[in-house]
Amino acid sequence: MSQLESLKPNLLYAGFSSSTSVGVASHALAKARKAIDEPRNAVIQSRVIPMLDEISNTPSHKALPEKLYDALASFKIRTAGVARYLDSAWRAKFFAGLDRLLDVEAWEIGDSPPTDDSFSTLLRALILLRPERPPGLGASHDGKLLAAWTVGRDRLTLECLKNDRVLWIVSCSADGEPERAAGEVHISRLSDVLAPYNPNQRWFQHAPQEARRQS
Amino acid sequence: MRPKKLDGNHNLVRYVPAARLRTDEDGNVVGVFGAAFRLRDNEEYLSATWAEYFNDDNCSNNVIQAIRAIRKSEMKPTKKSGFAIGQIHPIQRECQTCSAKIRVLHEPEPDNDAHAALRGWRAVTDIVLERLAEDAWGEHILNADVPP
Repeated sequence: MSQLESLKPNLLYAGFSSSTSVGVASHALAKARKAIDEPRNAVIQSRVIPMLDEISNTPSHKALPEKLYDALASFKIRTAGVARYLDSAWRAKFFAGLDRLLDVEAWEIGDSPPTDDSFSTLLRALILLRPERPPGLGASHDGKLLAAWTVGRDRLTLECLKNDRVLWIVSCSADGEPERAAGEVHISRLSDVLAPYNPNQRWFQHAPQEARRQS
Repeated sequence: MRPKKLDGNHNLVRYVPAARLRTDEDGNVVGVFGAAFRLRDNEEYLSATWAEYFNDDNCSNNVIQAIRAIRKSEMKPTKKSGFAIGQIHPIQRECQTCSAKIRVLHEPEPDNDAHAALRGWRAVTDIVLERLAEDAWGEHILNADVPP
């Protein structure tokens, strides 16, 4: 019994919380499951399997590809839930952007996948702003989603925080003079704070091909 | 030995993961995000690679050698990642706009002899990081575009 009890802390041993060793951790869990599937181990099956289930279902112990897959699925399901607000061609481009961002080949070991909180903020902000052009997507190392619109040297960047708050950064030229501004607001005020920069004409509409080529 | 302060006319190359490359809605890379220059909680300084360490008369060759040095380091750049290139003086000048005094020092690391540390970086604000991404450190090259 004491050996069984000691198995759980061993499986949780250092590294399972580290992103560099989550692959090793998953492999160890799979091996452990295979070993206890042997018929002679029927007695311990009832005790150990629940422990393994508990460990492998804990998000921090999932391997990176699994975390990215889960995030992608979750983001697409959430988006589908508000599909009536989004044009289907727009949604297809937005999904393609999510696919690119959460591609395991493009992801950095050590970075946190984007959080559900950040995605909720992004999705709500997009429904409120209703841009004709979907944003280019990025992510900070700590799981905050970044949304970007770029036309020539005019740039709008949104960093999506939790609880419907965004950090916005504008860089554009007004009457030939460079102008920059930034702030943190609730998404309900985002349209108001961006209004002086005319975002619909400047960034959100499909820009002429020439301007896009210069960006 | 005290770390060497780097010449303001020299160039720095910083690795930029794919998620911090600024793209348009079709996935074309159009720049880098300011977040590419943000410190992690456990970092004391911003890391970059000093291009002129490689001592070639041609600046482009130095940058390419710096990228090769990054590839050989523990960093292991992914296929879709890129590199931001910037000159030291303009980077420092931009940081001064938020009263951040940045010292750029040659601090070799076991896996990268050309490693440079930008100290004092914690004081740089998000808006200045975004401005660096636009101008002083905004030139970029994709990993896939640099020959092995």
